Amino acid sequence: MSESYDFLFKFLVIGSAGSGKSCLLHQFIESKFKDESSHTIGVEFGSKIVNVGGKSVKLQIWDTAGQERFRSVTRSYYRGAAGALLVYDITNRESFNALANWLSDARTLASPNIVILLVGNKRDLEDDREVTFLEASRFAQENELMFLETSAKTGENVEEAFLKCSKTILAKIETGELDPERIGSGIQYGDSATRRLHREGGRRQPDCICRM
Amino acid sequence: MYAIKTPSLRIDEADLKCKNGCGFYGNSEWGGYCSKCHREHLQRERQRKNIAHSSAHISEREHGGDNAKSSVAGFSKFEEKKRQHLKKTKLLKIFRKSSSARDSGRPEQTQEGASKNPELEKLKQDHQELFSNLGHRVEHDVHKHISSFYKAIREFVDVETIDELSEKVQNLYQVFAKRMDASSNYINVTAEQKEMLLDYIEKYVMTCLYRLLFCPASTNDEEKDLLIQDRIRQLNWVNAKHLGCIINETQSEVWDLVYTAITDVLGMDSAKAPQDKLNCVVRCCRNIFLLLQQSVGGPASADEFLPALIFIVLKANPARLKSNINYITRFCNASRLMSGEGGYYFTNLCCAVSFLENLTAESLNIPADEFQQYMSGKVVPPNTWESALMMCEGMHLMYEHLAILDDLRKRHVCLIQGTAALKDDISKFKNDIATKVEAVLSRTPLTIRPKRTPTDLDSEDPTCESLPPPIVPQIIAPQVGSDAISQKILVSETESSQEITSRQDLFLPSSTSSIPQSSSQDYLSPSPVFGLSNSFDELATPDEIYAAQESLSFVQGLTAVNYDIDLSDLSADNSYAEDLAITDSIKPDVSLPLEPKMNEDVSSSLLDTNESPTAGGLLPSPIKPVLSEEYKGFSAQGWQIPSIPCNTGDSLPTISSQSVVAHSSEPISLPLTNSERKDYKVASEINDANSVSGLPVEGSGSSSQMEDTLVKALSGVMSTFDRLF
Repeated sequence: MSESYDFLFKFLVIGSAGSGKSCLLHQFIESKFKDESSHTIGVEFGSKIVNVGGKSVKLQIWDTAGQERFRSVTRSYYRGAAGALLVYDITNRESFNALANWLSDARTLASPNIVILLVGNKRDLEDDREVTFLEASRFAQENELMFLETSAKTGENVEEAFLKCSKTILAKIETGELDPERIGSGIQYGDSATRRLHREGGRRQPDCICRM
Repeated sequence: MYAIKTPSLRIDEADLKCKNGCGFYGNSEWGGYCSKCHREHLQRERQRKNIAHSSAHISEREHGGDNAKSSVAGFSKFEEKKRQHLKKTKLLKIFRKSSSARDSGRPEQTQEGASKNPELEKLKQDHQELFSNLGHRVEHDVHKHISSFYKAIREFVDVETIDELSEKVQNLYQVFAKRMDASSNYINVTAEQKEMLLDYIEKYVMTCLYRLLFCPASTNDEEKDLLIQDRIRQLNWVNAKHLGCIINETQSEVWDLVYTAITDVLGMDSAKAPQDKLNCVVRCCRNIFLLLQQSVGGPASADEFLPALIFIVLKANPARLKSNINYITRFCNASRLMSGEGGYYFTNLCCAVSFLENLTAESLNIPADEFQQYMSGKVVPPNTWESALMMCEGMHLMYEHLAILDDLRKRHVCLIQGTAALKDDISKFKNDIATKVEAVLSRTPLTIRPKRTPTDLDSEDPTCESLPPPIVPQIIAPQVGSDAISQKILVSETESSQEITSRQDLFLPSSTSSIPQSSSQDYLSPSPVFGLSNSFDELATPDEIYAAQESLSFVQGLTAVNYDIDLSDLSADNSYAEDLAITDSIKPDVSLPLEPKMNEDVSSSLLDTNESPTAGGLLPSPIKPVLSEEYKGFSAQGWQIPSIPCNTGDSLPTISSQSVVAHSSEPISLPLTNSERKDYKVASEINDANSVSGLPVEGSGSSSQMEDTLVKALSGVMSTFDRLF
């Protein structure tokens, strides 16, 4: 890749089928609602470089299949993810009810430090709303999740959702709660210079043999 | 170098045989080979020494005498040769306590080893450019590490479990990556190039160790492979609909992509390096996205992708699927597997395989008994893959054509509906336009204005609106009449009585504004004539008559009532005759149309009048207000126009008429600076003269005195004529 970045975060988008996960992803990456755009060739797979807290972060976002029948087999997605967007459809009660299952999967299969953001999608369909903001916000609070309502169609809050998640992860890196060196953290250094900088910051490097 | 024998700790029957497996017994003197093989071996050694890089012909039938402990030479080609020998060490295999199945595969391995060399050569050539850019030091360093990598693995390959080995390999990747960051050799190397170097190392090492690390005997990978293969075969009846996968089965492009994807995933087995296997998976998945895009009509989501991938895997049934997956998982650079396109597709592949292993009736959304029937092979569902494969081309085409025909039918129906709608629209439009036109016509019909019924001035009701206000005697300058005439001249040039009437209306308000005192003006209102009644007494000019003739209604109106009324009114205004004072303050309201001068005041008074209800609609366009000092608006001076006296005052009118006539000539001459106007006027006068005879002046109740006045007027005109010429 020609563009350089300081960090690479792996994100997941999980949630019931039809809740608009891929539209959300598409809107974030292409800034276009999927229905209106033709398939773009040449865009690097599901990734975008954003500016978060003064650092440039490459977000690599994995879209997952949400059908119930695949839930048992999609566990391998969770490995090595730094952040997850748990998406439900505000006009669909079942998608909200299934959140508990998705959340338990994420907590058990993913890294314990994973940052999860609850996303209520299809905010533009206010007339068909079946889940109130208050209700969802309470659910998020109970489960210690951040919460946002978005609309992949209008683009409302889409970028904010990803940025919010990224900021939280970056903050955790800076406090030391998350270690990018560890495999499975879902975080990679983008530039070896950054790595060296961090290294010279006095971090423990157990794996390095040939340290100069 | 190669003749050093490792001490053998234990020798069994197999050891005594020739190492090439030719069946003859070998001798330690000949390095464990039988005589024939030994001779061949020596020959090859010589060849190898002579030829630098030509490894294509090098036979791998080396003796197993070389050991792993041979010293590391500085030159890569020798290193490579050594590596070949190291790989072919059979001694280590003897000591390995593994299943005997591997041993029987020895000849196979040796032959396979021959093919690796060209692969490695090709690999090197592919990276030649990279190395030439980076320099010899880097190249040397890299190869040094490769050899040490290889050695390390070879040391432990028999001792440790496969997981431990994979740990080691991953560690080695990490170590080298860090070394690259730290070492001075690699300062000028870009991140991209470092990645490429890491890839190179991975490929190189794994290609060399492929035999050892792929589907190792220490694991049960082989059994799992067989299991999954059987399972997939059992599930061959599952079609795209069962999986909830959207693949347009009749489109030929879709089929082509399906075949391509299957080919890609099958190619995974033949690749050696884990990255190459991964690349096969990536290519397959990209093709799946393409075919989904065709079926879905846009970018596909993960919800659609995973079922499609399952379908492809089901139909491809790749060989040694589990082994391949495990190999990639263990030995592919972990950072590559965690993120990026390769990682994503690989994860999806793992999910697909896991799904197939655990497939039940619920996961396909079909009832359990039906599932059982399919599984046992009793029932075969329609439109399965096999049917598509086995169907002859004709059948396939037939289905395609049916789909096309269906589409055509739909389009035809659409078209019919469209034309019907269009037809309806056209007729509706036509009706709408017709109604609109009628509406417009009814709103503004082309009707002749009804004649205004004049107010009965004698009516007793004092509140009648159209009754003129009570006449107030006013002093009028004697020049008033002349002005009136000139005004009449102007007026005569207008076209319709309507306009005249309107002007009449306009005059009134303007006169009201300019001469607030005038109250007798209104008496003119019932009369559409420009004081024609007056004219009969005093002011009749040919122009007036002409104007009168212009419109029938005008005449009718004249003949109907106005005339009488005017007379009676005029009689009351006897004093008017004396009061023909022309005040200069009277502003001209109307000017000659030909006159270019504009009297803005006049125009404004005309246009802006609010009092006349018909003013706006009846403003004549061609009329341009013209400044004419002499001319005072008719309405302005209307009250100043000498009134036609009653019978009793015959003499006066005659005198006044004469005087008026005399005066009238003046305004005639005054504006006649313009020759055009003169001509026009002359023409009008002639017309008037001509029309005089036709003038049905005698209306109802016309008295002889009218005739007299008319005659007098005519005479006056004639005299004017004479004077003019």
